[in-house]
Amino acid sequence: MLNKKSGKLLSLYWFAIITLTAGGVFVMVYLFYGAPYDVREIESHILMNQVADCVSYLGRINPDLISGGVVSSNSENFLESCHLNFSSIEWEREQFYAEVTFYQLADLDNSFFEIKKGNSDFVSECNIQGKEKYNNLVQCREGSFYSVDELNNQYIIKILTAVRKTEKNVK
Amino acid sequence: MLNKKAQIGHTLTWVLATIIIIFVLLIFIFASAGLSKIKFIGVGELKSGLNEESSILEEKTNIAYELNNANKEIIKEAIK
Repeated sequence: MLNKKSGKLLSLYWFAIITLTAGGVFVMVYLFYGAPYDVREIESHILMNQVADCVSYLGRINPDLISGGVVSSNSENFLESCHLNFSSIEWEREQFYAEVTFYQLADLDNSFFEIKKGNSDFVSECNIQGKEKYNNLVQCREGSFYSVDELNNQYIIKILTAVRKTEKNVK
Repeated sequence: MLNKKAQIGHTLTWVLATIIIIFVLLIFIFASAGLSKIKFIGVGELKSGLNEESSILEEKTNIAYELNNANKEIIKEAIK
């Protein structure tokens, strides 16, 4: 009689342990796979490459931006002409920022022409991000290259891109 | 009396086993929580052409040198 009772108790104990272990495995899987992958660094890199491709192709600056040493009037439609769309129905605020600064080689201290598109609030966060990496802030990328216009005038082009989308990339 | 002692020993073994199981589970749960915080895919982890730091910009500069390579040293310094 006693043996039967203890056998029942042991079965109950095993059931509790198996449930506990299954619950633990569920929590582990939920915690690990529930967290999103942070791919914003790659996104900002791709954005910078896309902007660079639009600004200069085969070594020459896009004539819609600078033509014959003069800033073109078409530069206002930079995003449209580069096939970029920073606004999305998913987000209330814009989640991207792109800044392109042109410097003439003769005057590298003062910018010749600037294009700033997207959410400019991110610039300050990019400055903080430079010293130490904070996941909750925007991910930024900076790069510069050399290009010439139609008249072979020389320019240094600096590009800054930033991607926020924190809610979708960081838990 | 002897039977009671054996029963106590038996129970203690199971209690200890339960504590160890819970402890191991908790360690794994905390480890997976910690690992979930570092789920990051950077440019370096990609096997595509993106993995070379700013290689497209370097390529663009080199192509532009073919068109006009005057003041190369100043340009190199400026884009560093």
